Parts: sequence; C-alpha cells; structure tokens
Amino acid sequence: MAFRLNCIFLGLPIIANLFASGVHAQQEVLDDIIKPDIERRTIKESDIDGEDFEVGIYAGVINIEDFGSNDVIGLRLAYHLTESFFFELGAAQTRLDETSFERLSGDIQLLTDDQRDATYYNVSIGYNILPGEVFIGSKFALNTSFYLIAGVGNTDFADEEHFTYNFGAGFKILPTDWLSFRLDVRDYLFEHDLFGETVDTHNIETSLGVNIFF
Amino acid sequence: MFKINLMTLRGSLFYCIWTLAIGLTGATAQAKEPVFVAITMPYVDVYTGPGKGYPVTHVLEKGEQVELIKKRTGWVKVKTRRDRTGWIRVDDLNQNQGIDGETIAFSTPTFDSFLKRKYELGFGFSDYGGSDAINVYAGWRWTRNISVEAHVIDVVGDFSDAFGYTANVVLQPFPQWRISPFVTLGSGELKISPDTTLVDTEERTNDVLQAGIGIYGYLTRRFVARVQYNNNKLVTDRNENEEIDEWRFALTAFF
Repeated sequence: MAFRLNCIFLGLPIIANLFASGVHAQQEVLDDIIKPDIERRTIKESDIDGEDFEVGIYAGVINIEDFGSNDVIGLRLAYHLTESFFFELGAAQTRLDETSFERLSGDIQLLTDDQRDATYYNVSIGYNILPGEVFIGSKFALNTSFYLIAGVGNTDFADEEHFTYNFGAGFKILPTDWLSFRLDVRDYLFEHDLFGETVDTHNIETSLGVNIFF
Repeated sequence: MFKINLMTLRGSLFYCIWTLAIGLTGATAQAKEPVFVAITMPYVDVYTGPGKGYPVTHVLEKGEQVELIKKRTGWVKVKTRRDRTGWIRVDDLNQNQGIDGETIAFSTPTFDSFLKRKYELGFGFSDYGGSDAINVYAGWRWTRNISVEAHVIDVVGDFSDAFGYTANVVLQPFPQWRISPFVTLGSGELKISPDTTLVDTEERTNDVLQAGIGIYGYLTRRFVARVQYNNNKLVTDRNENEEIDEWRFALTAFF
C-alpha cells in the first residue's frame, strides 16, 4: 500500500508536469500564429530617422569698420522647427587689420597684437522665404532655398565685448537631402567707443559654407 | 607545428570575421528596420523637397506600397518600389496604413503638444539693468505646473561685462491657457569684469538670487514666446546688496 501511495505521490507531479508542458507546447504553437500580428500596431516617427539638425563650417570675408576687410572662419549649428523656421547658433573668429590712421602715422599702434583677435557668437532665427529649384542642364534639378535671418550676439575684440545685432540673407543649394552649400551675407551691428566717442558700426560679412543634416 | 599554427590562426581569423559579421548584421538590424506603408488615400502628392514651395513631381496611387526613409520637420521622405524618392506631408502620411494594417501616428506639434511638453529650449535678449544681454535656457517640465530650468546670461555693458548662470524653479498656475502666466525663483552666480579702460579692473563673482514673473504665449507648432521680468539680487560683501531689474524676451522651442 505504502509502495502504491508512494507511486502515486511520486507519479502525480510527473504527470502534472507532462500535462503542463503539453499546455506550454500548445501555447508556443499559438504564440507562433498570433504574435506577428500584434507586434506593431502603430507606426510612429521614432521608427524612422529624423533629420532636423544641421551643422556646418563657413569661411569668408568680414569688413569690421575702420579695421579693414579680413578673413573669417566659423561654425554653425541649426535646428529646423518647421519647414520655414530654424534656430541657428553661430561662432567665428577673425583678425583686425590696422586702421588707416595707424598705417599713415608710422609707429602708432591703437591695439596690441592680442587685441586684434576678434571672435563673435550669435543666436538667430531664420525663415526660408523662397524655396525652389535650380537646374543643371536638362537632367538635373537641385533643391534650393533663399532665407532671411536675424539675431543677437556678442562680438569680442580689443578687450571689450560688444552687444551685436545681426541681419542678413542667404541662399543654399542642396545636392542631396543631407548636404547643403550656402552663400551668406550678414550685417553685424554694434557700437564701440575705441576712438573716444561712441559710434554705431555696420560690419558686413560674406561667406561660403557647407552644412550637413543629421 | 608551423602548419598547425597557421591553421589555428586562420581558424581564429575566420571566427573573428564571422563574429564580427554577425555582430554587424545584428547592429544594422537593431539600428532601424525599414518601414513600409500602403497608400489607402485616393492619391498622395510627392514633392521634390521637404516644403510646400517645392514642386510636386509625381503622385502615389491608392494601393501602392512605399518605404519611409526619414523625417524632417513636418515631412517624410519616401521611396517607391521603382526607386523613386520624394517628400510627402506628415498630415497626408497619417491618413494611410502600414502594410500589416498598422495605424500611422506621426505627431504634428500643436497647442496640445505644448501642454504635454517635456523639454524647453529657448534664447532671447534682455535689458539687464540698462545693459544689453543675450540669454539661453533649457527647461525640464517636472509636473503639470512645475518646471526646472537652467539659464545662462551674457551681459554686455558700457562699463563692464558680465557672464552668469542661474538654476530656476518655474511655477505655472494655469498651464492650459494659451497666454499663461508664471512665476520663478532662482539662484546662481554672476561674474562681472569691468572694462580695462577703467581704473578698477578687478573681476568679481557674486551670488545671485532671482525672483521673476512673466507670461508664456503659444505661437504656432513648436514655438512659444516668453516675456519676463526678473528682479536680481547680487549678494556682495559690501554693506548693501546690489539690485538689478531685468526685462527678458525669449523665443522657445518645446519637445
């Protein structure tokens, strides 16, 4: 009897296990049929790549009033909010030439060597006002955009910082979706008192740049 | 001996390449699977670029299947079975279905998304006690009414320049209003450097306590404007603390 009971007690879990694994196997078969259908119910923007940011370098010529026209080189980072509006962060550096007074007077120097290094940065908002296409021959059309841009920033030279407004316009050509070549014309407005009295200055910059989207 | 070594070497090289290949395919598979949709609208216009100003060069027909390549602002680049590419509007895309009947739910930012925003990123300019200043800030919305923000300010004055930062708590009592007021408290530091042309050219760093009041104004899409008045208290080691009034205007994008 004891032997028989033992048999039952020992056997029961085994049978139960077998039964359970049978159910388990059945569940697996069902999973195979059902799962693929319920895997993805909605397609969202996170399922594909987003390319709302742009980064680039530019080089050109900036004319700082009284200090001549000088090479400028800079970096830009942009975020596209809508197809029309974008935020842009820019920073660049240039070097100031001698003023006409310094050149004519001989030895007199108004600024030291270090003071001639100028840097600026700005935060701006741009608006793509004229999107369009340009055509190369009869086979190729490239997307383009003409945009307006304005912002505020800081220009640092001669050991002084100058609050700077900037206004400008630019034209960009996109050979592919993620690459653009740009031509920019920007006016940087700031006032300084290096020569005694405070003067408003307009400083025009023209530059060529290349940007990539990411 | 040499032969065996060579074999082992080749074996491990193969193993190495094999695991690398598996790893790489695994990685690319993980990156992003291609997403296909089936056009269920009568037709969808395809533009050459991501903007309404670009020309429509062809249309997607009902029943056609296209691959979604990438998204930029309110536009999605698609590729047809015949390898033609172009951009369609997110609003158009949303009216179709995935090839297995999935719904498509690309979001277009509206005032509703502003109410559900998690982050803010803004920049602007201020009048900082009579001097011009540039400011940039980032914010994280903790609850419906409370956010925390980090502000950086660059002040350009006639006699001195300053650079500072503050950490702020912002309380918005009526977040559901399109023009919605807020109050803020913050503290941070301001480093003041007088212009070299003046006699006293020593730089000083002051602790700043800030109390402000302002309004959010929802503009469009991801844009809000913020106008704000701050009262800044500079903690000095002199007998009196300095007080600076600041008017601030900022353009903000939210996510």
